[in-house]
Amino acid sequence: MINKNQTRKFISSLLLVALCSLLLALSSPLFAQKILIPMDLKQSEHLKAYGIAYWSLTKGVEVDWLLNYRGGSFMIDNHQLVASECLVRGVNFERISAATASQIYAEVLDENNNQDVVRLEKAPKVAVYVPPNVLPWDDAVVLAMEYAEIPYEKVWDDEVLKGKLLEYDWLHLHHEDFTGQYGKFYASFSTAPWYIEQQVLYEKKAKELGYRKVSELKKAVARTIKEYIASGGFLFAMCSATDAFDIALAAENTDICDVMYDGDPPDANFQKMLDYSKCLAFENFTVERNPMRYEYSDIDIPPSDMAGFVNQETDYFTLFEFSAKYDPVPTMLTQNHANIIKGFMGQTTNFKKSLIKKTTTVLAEKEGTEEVRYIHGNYGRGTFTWYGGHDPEDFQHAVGDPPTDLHLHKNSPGYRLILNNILFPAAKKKPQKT
Amino acid sequence: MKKIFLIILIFTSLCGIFAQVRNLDNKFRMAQIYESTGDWDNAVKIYEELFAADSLNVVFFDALMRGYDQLKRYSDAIKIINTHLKFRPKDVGLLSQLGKTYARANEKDKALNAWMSALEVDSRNINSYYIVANAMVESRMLDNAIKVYEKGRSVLNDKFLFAADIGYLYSISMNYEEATRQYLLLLKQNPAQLSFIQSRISIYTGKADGLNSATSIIEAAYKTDTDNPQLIQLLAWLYMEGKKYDKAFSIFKTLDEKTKAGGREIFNFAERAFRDKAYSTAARAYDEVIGKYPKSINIAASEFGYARTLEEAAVEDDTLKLFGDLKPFTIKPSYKSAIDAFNKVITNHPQTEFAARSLYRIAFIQFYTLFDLANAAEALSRIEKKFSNFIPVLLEAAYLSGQVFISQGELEKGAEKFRWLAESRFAQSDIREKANFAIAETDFLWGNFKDAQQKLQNLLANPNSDITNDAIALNVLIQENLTNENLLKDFTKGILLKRQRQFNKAAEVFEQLTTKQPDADIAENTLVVLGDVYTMMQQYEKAISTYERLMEKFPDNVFADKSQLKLAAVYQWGLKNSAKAIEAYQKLLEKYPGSVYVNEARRRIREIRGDVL
Repeated sequence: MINKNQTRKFISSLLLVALCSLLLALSSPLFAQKILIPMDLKQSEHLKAYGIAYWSLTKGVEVDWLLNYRGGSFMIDNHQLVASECLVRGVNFERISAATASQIYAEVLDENNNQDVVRLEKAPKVAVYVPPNVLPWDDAVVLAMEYAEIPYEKVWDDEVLKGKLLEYDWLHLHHEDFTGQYGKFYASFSTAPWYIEQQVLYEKKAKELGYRKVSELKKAVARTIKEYIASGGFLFAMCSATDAFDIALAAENTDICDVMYDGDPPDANFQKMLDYSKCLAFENFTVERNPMRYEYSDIDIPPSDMAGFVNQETDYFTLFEFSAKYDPVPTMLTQNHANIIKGFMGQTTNFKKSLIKKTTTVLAEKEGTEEVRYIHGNYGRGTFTWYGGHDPEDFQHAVGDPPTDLHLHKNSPGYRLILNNILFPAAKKKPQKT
Repeated sequence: MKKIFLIILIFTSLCGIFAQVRNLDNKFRMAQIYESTGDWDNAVKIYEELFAADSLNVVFFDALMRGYDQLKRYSDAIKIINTHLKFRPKDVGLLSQLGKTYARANEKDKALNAWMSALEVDSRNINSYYIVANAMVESRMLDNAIKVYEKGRSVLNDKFLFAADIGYLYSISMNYEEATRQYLLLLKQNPAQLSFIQSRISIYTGKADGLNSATSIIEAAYKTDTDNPQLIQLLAWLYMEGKKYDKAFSIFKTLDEKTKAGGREIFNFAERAFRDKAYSTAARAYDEVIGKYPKSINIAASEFGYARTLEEAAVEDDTLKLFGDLKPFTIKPSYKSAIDAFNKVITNHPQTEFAARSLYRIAFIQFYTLFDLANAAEALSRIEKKFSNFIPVLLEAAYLSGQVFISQGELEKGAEKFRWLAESRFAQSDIREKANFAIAETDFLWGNFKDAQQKLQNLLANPNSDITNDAIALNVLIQENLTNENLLKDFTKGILLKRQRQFNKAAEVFEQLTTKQPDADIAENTLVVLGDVYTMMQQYEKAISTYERLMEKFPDNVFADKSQLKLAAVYQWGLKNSAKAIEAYQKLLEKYPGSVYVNEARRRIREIRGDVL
């Protein structure tokens, strides 16, 4: 027979064990109280939210990226420091209980839901390829990083060729010209002081680094960047840096630059001498022969060549949906609170679908057209992601226009795509589901 | 017979020649067709045939050169140039072309030799240098082009020659010091070219290194030629571009002296420095005009400008106006020197608009900053009596005068001023609206709440007016508390005392009010102003507890976010407790995320933390 005293003792012991288990469970990161940074329409500062995720990583706080959960939300352990920083930066967050957090994890990991968790472990070291001279246009990625308060360093040709890229996890290129044609601005800006200075500066740099022509230097830079990707680097490029990069790689053994760019005419048969096998994303393209035309090739479909009138009000593109559990990388890159994104133009606005290599993944396109806006691919141990257009919140960014004030575009879905790329190298690699 | 044979022979020969010429023409046309389609291989084949047939033909030569160039057959191009050079050995253009072709073939030494040969053909001919230098620029050999121009200068014994060209080449090579030296030479040679030179230099003064280089070179030149007015102007312009106001002032003085401008240059400089908010330099410049050029036509404007700089230098920025016109955390600056300066204008330039404006500025300082009501009223009364012909000043003075009367407790006199202003046919609509609001406010202070509301209705109808928000706030206050008119009247007594800056008495009234009816609607407004009054009295702990009382008792009140910001400001600047201030600002962010003050709170947290913003 068990007496009352023994029963009481037994129940007390059980309660104690239950309490200890609960405390143990609550102290483990998965079940502890959490901070949820929603990335759906409840978020008032989408862009700065990425900055919080990055900042947390720099403080040694790991971040869980909940793919496809409320627009790609972030879950962070409940540190007061993180909460305070969210307040200071104006990022909406929710303090959730351990139980709610575990429910969310269960929902995200459920095989029936197209969601997944990606653990972000280390703040990626970011470099931006930017010339030392001041050019009269802005760089959307630099604007996004500065607004989100994500630190970055600048590199240019010297650093690239001296192998400094290996110090960075992520490299960004924007309105750059790796073909050596100075952005093909000759027709409109050949007498502008910034254009003249740019040409002289680049020529000096080429000579200094032992190249006879700027085009040769730039091709060498493009090849080095390609090697950086092969060795595990992440490349993100926008606007003209995308197609110009592949054209430079294809033109390794030929001269495509006209006399005003490199002092001699192009090779008469340069088109035949292009080697598409060297390209990352494109093939079978035709390089623009007219040195006065503001286009590099037929990869981009300029507004003048489009079937209908390009209208800011109706120019939208659609993000593709990927399987979060089977294709986590494209899923990360397309996280958004909107899947229809406002279009925006650039020197390179889009990529012609028929000229994209089969190995490249299309992330976004303008439905019903040949226009692809956002692509991703692997090369060696690294990846490249290319995004057409110049500035997601300036439909037609002209030379000399003031930079976009992101305080007015805190929730820009177009800018979010840029910032997805910056966090993507922070992700812990998981074994791929088969 | 012989004659006939001769005629036939000549005729046949001529036919042959014509046929040959026609054949060459046809071939040339065919080659051109190939050229236009980009088929350079076939075009060149024909051009070669044509050149072989008539190697002295310049058209064939040019066409073949074009072809070789396109196909990058530089050695063949060099051969045909040399063929032509045998016939035209002193053709500078041809030699220059030879240089260019060698440069394209990456044979730099041979290119330079060819160009030197071109220069030797007629070294006294200025055009040779232009032709060769241009060829070098086309070949992107800018340094060599500069050397060619310098050689020309030396040979032709003219140190000013090619200055604009060399200057330009140096500037695009980013050698701004040398570029400026060349432009200086040009200025010396032709002082009338100052504007042109300024425009050339302005190409690179937008960049810090360009501006610094240009300034240092012109400064050095000025030291050796202090009498050169163009040099002085150039230097003054560069100093202003670089916002080096003190140096600019010194150089403008010299400029004024050298150009015998009688203080005009210094005055213009002072005006620009004032606009750029470089007050101390502006004050010295105005003072210079006053001291040195007492007969200048700008003397009255200078004296007034001088007084304004002293006034502005003492003002602190307060764009948020958290405590209205009151500035609880700033040390009251001394305006004595500014008032003295304004008085001097009045004495020296009586009956002028500058005197009227000076009196107004004195009244403004006396009222808003020093709260010396008697002196403010006296100054305003003088404007009314002596300067009634300066209408804009008179209108501004009338408004200020009304405010002074209100603060003196003479509400009727104040209202009279506002009524006059509201009815004045000279007053613009914004001034009339300000006056109408002041009339309604006076009714409110009198306790004539219905009248006040009636007058506010007209203002509420205009959503574009600057005064509408104030009108809405006052209207809501009256509307919400009309049910307990006596309490509202007590409240207005406190408000009037606060306006009269009798803070102790105001605090007493407000404390009584909150004790008497702690749950009344008016208690919300009372706690807000009571907190402000304690802040003004530097009783910071009481201020904090009052704001906290407000937020505890009325958590949803419309002033909660602003009061939380005030509370944080008291911690930050009153008690100088940064940790508590951050905590208070964070509370605002947490509790009132939709507040208009969140950005300010964020900015202040970051300012305290020392973040790089």
